Amino acid sequence: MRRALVGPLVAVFVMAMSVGAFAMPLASFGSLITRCTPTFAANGRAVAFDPATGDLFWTNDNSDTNIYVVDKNCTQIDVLATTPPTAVGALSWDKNRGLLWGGAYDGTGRIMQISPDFVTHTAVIGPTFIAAATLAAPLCFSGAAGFIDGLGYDATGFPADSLWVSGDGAQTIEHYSTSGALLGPSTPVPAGVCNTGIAVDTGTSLWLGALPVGNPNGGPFSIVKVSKTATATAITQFTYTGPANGGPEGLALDLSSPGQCALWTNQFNLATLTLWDLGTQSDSCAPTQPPPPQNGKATGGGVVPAGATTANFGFNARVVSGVASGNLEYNPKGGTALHCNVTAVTAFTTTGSTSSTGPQGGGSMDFTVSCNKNTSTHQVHVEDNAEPGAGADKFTIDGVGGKITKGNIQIHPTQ
Amino acid sequence: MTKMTKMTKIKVVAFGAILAAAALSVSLHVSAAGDTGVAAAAGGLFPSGGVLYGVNLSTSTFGAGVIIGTSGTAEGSFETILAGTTALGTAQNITLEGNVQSGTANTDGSVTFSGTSTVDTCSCGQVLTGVPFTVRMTTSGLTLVVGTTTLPTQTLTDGGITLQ
Repeated sequence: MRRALVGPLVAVFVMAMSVGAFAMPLASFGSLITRCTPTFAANGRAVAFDPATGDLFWTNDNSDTNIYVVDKNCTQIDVLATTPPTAVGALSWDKNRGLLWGGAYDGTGRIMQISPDFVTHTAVIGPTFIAAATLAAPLCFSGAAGFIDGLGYDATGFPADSLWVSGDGAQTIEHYSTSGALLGPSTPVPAGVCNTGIAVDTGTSLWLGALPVGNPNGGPFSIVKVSKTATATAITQFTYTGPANGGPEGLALDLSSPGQCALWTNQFNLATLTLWDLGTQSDSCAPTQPPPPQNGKATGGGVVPAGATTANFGFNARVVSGVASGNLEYNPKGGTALHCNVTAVTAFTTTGSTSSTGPQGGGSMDFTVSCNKNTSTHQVHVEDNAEPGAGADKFTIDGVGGKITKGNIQIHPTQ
Repeated sequence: MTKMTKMTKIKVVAFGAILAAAALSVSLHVSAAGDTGVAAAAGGLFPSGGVLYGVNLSTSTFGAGVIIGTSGTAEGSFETILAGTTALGTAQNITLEGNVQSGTANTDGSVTFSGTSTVDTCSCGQVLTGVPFTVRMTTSGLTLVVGTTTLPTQTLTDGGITLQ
């Protein structure tokens, strides 16, 4: 009897493996993983994700003061009545406190702690502060001041335990402490778009819901990645398309599936929960950096383009048993000279070898320098591509420079 | 003059030994530190009287990156553009691009390094190769020898030189 079952069991196992293989998600940035429209869907606004339970919290616009709780398939778990009744335009899960942060969508600019209570089916509004800078920030929608539409809790950033906030169709983002202190000036979102949602990634990035200036309700829509320190520059983006011509509203990061970095969105017009694959663009799924080099040596001196002018440069950079040393001098015409110490060698490649005629160079080095009595830090990249180096070797500092016009750069083979 | 007691002599000898050990330790430490690095990107000013290939030199710009070993070896690059005027009053530049092959860290804090260079004497196609050169560099200027011509010491006008 047992033997008779082996054949069919093997067949079932092979089929299961086959289905499993086909069902494995492929990491493709911006591809749709799953989408559903929940019960009570109206003009959608917020979404938040609790990784511990897998629950999604979502809201409609100011016509509805409930917070809805569903699973990843939009199966209804609970309906939480905000207490006191409050329209919520933005949500973000705070895993440290085990509660939601919410943005009031009622013109008051309030940022609130919200505690879900699944026994009483309420969402209790707790400590609150007014995001005053967000009230004054420029928007794409006239008359929408004080309607909080983007909110991301930052558990690990600098400083940790802080909040990124924006208004409805905002052209700036504000950074607050959880006690309501503004942590810096408002910073612009990328040119040409208005922001409708914020998700905080685990590293240095934010994800924004972007509507085009001039046609914010019509599209085309996109999800944009920016750096927390340079929110005006889009690092990458993908196109958002949704049912009922809806555009993105709330955003929430989902890292709950091993090996998958994904982003939930809610949308306006018809509340719809969509899970998007962030692939390796998420901080959490970024390719692992190779370990820093242990040994390497580079020298160079010459002339390099520096924007509209030129600069003299000279450097020696070494890393021995992982310890970096050396100096850089950089002297742009008509500009401020840099006098620098090498503080880290972050990458080193050498194509060189020792032949019968002596060491043969070639390769590249990346190193970090601290300059002018530690008042600035810069990233330097050098390449040794030919002997002599003019017109072939490269020198850049913070991306400025390129092929050197005079002089030479040498990557020295390690012994 | 009083005679030292036996105990005092022992103390002096012991103290001397400690000093010697300390000196040796410092010497070993310096020796272990090893290489000397040169980084320079700057402008230089010639005093009057500097002439090379018929050009009366007035200023220069230069860039250098060199590592000098403890045994007289060195590796790196030196590049300079020497600016001046010809006897006819025409502005003319001389460009030297050198490959550093030997060097010394001097006891006065300066460094000296040498090698062979390619010299473009006039940006007019007259390029000399295999020209020996030597640079003695301090943090405030440099003295350049091209072939057998020792140029006057240049002083820094901008930029910087780090010897470390």
